[in-house]
Amino acid sequence: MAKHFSYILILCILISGLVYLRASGEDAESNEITSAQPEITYVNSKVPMADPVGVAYSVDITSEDALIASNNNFELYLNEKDLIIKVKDKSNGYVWCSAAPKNKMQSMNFEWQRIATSLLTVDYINTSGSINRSPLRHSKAPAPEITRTDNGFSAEVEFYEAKIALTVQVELTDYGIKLTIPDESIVEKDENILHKLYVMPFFGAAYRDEIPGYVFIPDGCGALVRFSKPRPYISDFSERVYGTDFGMKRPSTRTLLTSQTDKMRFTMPIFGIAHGAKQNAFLAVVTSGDPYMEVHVNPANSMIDYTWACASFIYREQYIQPTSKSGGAFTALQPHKNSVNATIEYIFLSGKNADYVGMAKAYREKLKKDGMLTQTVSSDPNVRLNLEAVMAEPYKGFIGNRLRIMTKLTDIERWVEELQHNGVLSMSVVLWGYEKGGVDGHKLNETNVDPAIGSVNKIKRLNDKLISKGTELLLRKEILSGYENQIDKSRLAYHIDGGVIEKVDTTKPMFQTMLFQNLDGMRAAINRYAKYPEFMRNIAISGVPANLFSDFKRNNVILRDQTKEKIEEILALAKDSFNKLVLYDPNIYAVKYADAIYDLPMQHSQFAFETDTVPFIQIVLSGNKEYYAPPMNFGVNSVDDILKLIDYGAYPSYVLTEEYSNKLASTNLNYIYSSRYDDWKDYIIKTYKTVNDILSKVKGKAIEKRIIPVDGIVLVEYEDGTTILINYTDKSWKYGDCVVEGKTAKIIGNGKV
Amino acid sequence: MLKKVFCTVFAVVLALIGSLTPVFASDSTQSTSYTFTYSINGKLEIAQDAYLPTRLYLDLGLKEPQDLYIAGQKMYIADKGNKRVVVVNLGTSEVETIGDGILEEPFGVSVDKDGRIYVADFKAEAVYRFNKDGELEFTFKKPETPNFGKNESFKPKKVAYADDGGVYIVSEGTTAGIIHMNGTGDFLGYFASNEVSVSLLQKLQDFFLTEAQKRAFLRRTPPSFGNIFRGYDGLVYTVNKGSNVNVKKHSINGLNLLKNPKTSIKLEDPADIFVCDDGRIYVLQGNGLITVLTNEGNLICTFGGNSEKTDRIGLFEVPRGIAVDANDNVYVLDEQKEMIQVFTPTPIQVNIHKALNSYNNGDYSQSKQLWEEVLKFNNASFLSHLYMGRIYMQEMDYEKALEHFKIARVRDEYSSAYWEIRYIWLQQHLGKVLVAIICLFLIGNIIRFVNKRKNIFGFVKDIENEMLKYKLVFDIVNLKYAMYHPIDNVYDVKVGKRGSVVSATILYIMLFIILVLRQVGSGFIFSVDVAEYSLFNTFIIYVFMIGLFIMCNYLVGSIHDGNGTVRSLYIGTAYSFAPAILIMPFVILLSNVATINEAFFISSITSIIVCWCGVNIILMIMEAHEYDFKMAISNILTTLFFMGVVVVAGSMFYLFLRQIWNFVSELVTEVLIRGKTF
Repeated sequence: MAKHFSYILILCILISGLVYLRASGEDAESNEITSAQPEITYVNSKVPMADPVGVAYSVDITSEDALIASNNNFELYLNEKDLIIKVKDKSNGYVWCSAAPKNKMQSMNFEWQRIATSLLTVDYINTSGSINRSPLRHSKAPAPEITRTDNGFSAEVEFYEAKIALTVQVELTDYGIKLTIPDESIVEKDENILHKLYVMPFFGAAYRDEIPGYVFIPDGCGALVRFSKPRPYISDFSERVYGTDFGMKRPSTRTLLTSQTDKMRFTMPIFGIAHGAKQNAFLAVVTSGDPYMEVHVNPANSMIDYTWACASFIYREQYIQPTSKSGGAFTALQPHKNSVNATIEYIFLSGKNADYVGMAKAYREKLKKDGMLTQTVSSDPNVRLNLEAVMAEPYKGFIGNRLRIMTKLTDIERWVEELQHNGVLSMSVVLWGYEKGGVDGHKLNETNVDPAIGSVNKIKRLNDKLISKGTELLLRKEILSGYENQIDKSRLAYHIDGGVIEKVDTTKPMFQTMLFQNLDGMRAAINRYAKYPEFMRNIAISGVPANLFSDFKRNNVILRDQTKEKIEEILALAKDSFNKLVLYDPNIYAVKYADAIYDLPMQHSQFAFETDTVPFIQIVLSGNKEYYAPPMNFGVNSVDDILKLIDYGAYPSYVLTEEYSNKLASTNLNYIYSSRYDDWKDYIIKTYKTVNDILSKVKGKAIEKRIIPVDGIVLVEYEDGTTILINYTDKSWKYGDCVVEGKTAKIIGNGKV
Repeated sequence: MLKKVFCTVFAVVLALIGSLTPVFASDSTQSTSYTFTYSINGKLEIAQDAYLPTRLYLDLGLKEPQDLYIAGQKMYIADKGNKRVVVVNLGTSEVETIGDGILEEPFGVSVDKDGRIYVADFKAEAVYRFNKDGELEFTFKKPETPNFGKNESFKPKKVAYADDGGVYIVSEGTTAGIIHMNGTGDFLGYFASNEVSVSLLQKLQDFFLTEAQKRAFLRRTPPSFGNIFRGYDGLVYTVNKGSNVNVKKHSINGLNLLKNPKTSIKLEDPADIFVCDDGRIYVLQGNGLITVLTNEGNLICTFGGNSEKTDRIGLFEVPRGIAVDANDNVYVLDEQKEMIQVFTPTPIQVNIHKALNSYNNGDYSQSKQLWEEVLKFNNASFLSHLYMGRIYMQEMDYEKALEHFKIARVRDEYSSAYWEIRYIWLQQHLGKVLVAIICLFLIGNIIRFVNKRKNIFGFVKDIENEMLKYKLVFDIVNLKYAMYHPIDNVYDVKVGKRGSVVSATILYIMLFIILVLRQVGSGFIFSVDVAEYSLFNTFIIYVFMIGLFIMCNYLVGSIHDGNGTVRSLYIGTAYSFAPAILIMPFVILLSNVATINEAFFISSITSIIVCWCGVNIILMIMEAHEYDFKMAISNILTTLFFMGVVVVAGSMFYLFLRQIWNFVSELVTEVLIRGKTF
């Protein structure tokens, strides 16, 4: 069977290779004749695309490159004159280079040619307040002072235009290289101020579609940017890791119903580049300075025909200081400098591990080694279904606001009984908005149960009932943000401009201004819940693990890197005080405190250059944490939704109400357009059975391989060798002697990949 | 005359990259923009994704493309910058180009049933007709006939095919209408002219200005057409340029067939329009929003939006063309992004399309099944409730129809369902009702007759008399007297015989309650939406208006030798509303059993009550101030004017104070902030 498959695979590779060669040959030809010959290739972001095929050829080590350090796996070379780093992977001789080759830069302008050959580039703010760019490479720049160290070198460099000097240390390690720029080495010699530092922007950059491969970025669950010839993109792309710092940049006000949806967050301080099909790759992990890190990706476009990606660090920013409500404002400079001890570790991968799965596995190992990922998988042999029950929500009544009860505790008892009766073996039920006032109306420090929903005793009864059936009951708590009427005004977080941080959405029918609590408020909340009776101390926390911002409260300024530490303290406190702690869509530093994870993204932000969606975060977490997909109600209810759950190893979630969800129209939960239990019951049972049949077999196991031989066919292999085939296409697919029908998934055996 | 031109056709068959038949799949995840549809609360609300962006054509090498058209398996793109039309075969993935060397600035493209291609060329001032193999067949030039107008420009921007090889042309700067030409290039006339809407100010201008001035100042041109589409039903669809416009569906004589229902949507700067075979209308707006309408013009959904200078898919910078293929996939062309994005309908959207079609084809049971499924996933959907109601009407299940129409808040269709229910009820119960009325009448007369003889109900009269001894009760019961004898009543109020401040206050409260009941307690057809209703606001406005009227009237009266006191005016005004307090409750009750057919009746009684109250107020003022009729009218007009002055002066004072406060607070903040920053 395996033999058959390998034949098919070889055939596929051969055909695709031919196609590729033909396409590239044609490409070169068309470049000579006319630039505007139309082609019908298209990018389809919704169907898993076949893995790239082909071989990448690397640059050579030249006489200008001096060997600096060497170990069993790698050799580090340095061109001292131009400060260009090359790393040779001894396993297959592939050379990674920090600069673009000289003979392929004609199409770029002079500034970009400088950037493409510089190890570092800075953006600086000059005295008049404008932002300028200064690549390291400049004909008049003083030569770098290079000092050799045990395993590498350190170079003192100065940016000519910016008049900023710093030291960069490069060290060869067992897994690759480590690059450090110590904060104390940075000297602003003139009045220019360091804004941003780009580290090795062209390391691993690819010229047009010359080599097969891609850039991996941690956008949402993970996205690939395949190398391609220049395409008509209209913007360059960068994204802050861990989301926007609301303390520096206010959340934008939403006034139009028709604005685009929020982008996904980058939850991990990493990016990666792969060259060739399972040939060579690296994963860059920022181990220090990550709260100030940005990831940049530039797909080949009409300006620059390279696809490059890098990390940058923000040292100081400008912000808008409003002076009046009517819009008067001036641009001010952040008074303090961020303390960024930038450290990037480049982990090189080769052979079978040289793809995004290899990167995810390398990251998983690194997190485990650093104690940032712990294993907490329940002993329950079945997949858990997450039911989130919306209990109550305020609406506008004839006189004042009133509370609309959407679900009662007794309804949930009925649901659980019915579902269990129909084969849903394990559930995790979350109560959302059970406090007095409902989801968007309760005071954040309210702990009492709304009498119309039930009572503490009824919660106890429900909990006992659930536990007796191997199911658990959790309470959802949002302790970061709330509307004006919900929040304690003495514990608000402040923006650098002196005002409170607020997020305004004028399209919401009931409450428009959302405010944010400071860290004291969050800590107090955790302490309050710690006093709950035993059975109410299973808590799911949203907001806190997904947001990271500075708080500029007068006399008590807490910067983003400090906030990160304190949030970890708060989560550690929560972990100690609660029986079970579940986090919604956490940033990676929060993951170790979670017993399980809700709302783990299943897609990326959908930029045109993001050619593939990959379950990167899922592969990282697999085998260590149970993770649930965002509620399926908000999907389009197609079979593909279920297949994707199986593909990504994610457990299903639903937001449910007993009442018709049209009762939530004209409330702030108006985005929940379909949640009635009776409408969803059959789908829930069907979905659960399909998912449980397959995923229960691999519970607690980590994903080891994921390959896509042809469009729409995905093979996922777990660490014990169990292999699942997911067929996203309409037609059945024969794999060995196993036939997988269209739009289904099946375990096809052990170690079949 | 046919001009001799050459035409080259490139057919570039490309290597088969990837699978040829596109695999359509959707994702459990959301799109990059929200889908909106009309909700039962009459607002646009978020709904399940209707379309997901699934594919991108990035490598077509387009340059400032302007228009998109799909006919059968072929997609046509007016590639302005490259001076050609690109034809993509969606089935075989072949690409060819048309019109190289002929076209100068192709702006619009259209294809008829025979596969002939029509291209509007702005710069060449011509419309070209190519045969289905891409060879030039005919060139439409500016008509020479006098009825076209010698000074009219001929700058074709958009084109739609007409019958027998003719064309409809939207020409820039031509305001007379759409240019209609036959297959041999003869001008047949202007089709579907737009009308100039004249505002009140313009009417005044018309009245006062001379002809010469009008020529100099007023350049009133009708709104110009933006785009045109010829549907396969033979009808012509157009959209105007500008904001707040509607799609128009023209009959053969150019009239608009689409009434604009409550849930149509005002379009902003529409860029292109496409109509499916089953009559569904797709409009692309300049801001990137795609609007899908039913064949009646009801909104199905909107999605898409502006990409705000990012490369996110499903959003646009300068959207130019929209087209829909046989599988309901939507193709959108972006001039700035120079690519085509494809949206695929989600299962739920496919169901909505099917449900609409089966309803339109009279297959109500299937349609009902599908709508029920749609309701499961969005039970706030206006459209589903509307169609469910209509289906139940067809099935003569009026109770259920009523329920759905009530949820959807469609008053006219609710009214017809209610009419049916009432009709059935009356048919069943009319006899009993009549008997009951006659019995009641008889019993009443018997009681009256017996009472006259034996006085058995004398105690009631006694209690009544006893109660009337209390001044307050008497004053309130006095309402009936006040209604018929307003002048006498006010005189009595003045001399202190009738009325008191307390009783007047009670009357005001009663009036307020009736006012509120009138708005929220009337039958569904006549009431306002409780969710939109603010009791507090109504109360404030009510108290403010009554108080202001009495105060102003007193002040105006005291200047003009009026004898009214605040007390007499306060009580007198309260009694003036007697007709409203006494009659309105019956109107409110009646409105609960009335349909739109009887709306005239309800509104005329309401008008009579209002007039009656008005007359009472005039009489009250005459008597209170001891004026003659003329003086009273002038007093009321002055009072109203004075009220206006008070409101304006008050708001100006408020604005002034706020300005000062803002100025001071901004000054202080800025000083503080600058002090802190530097």
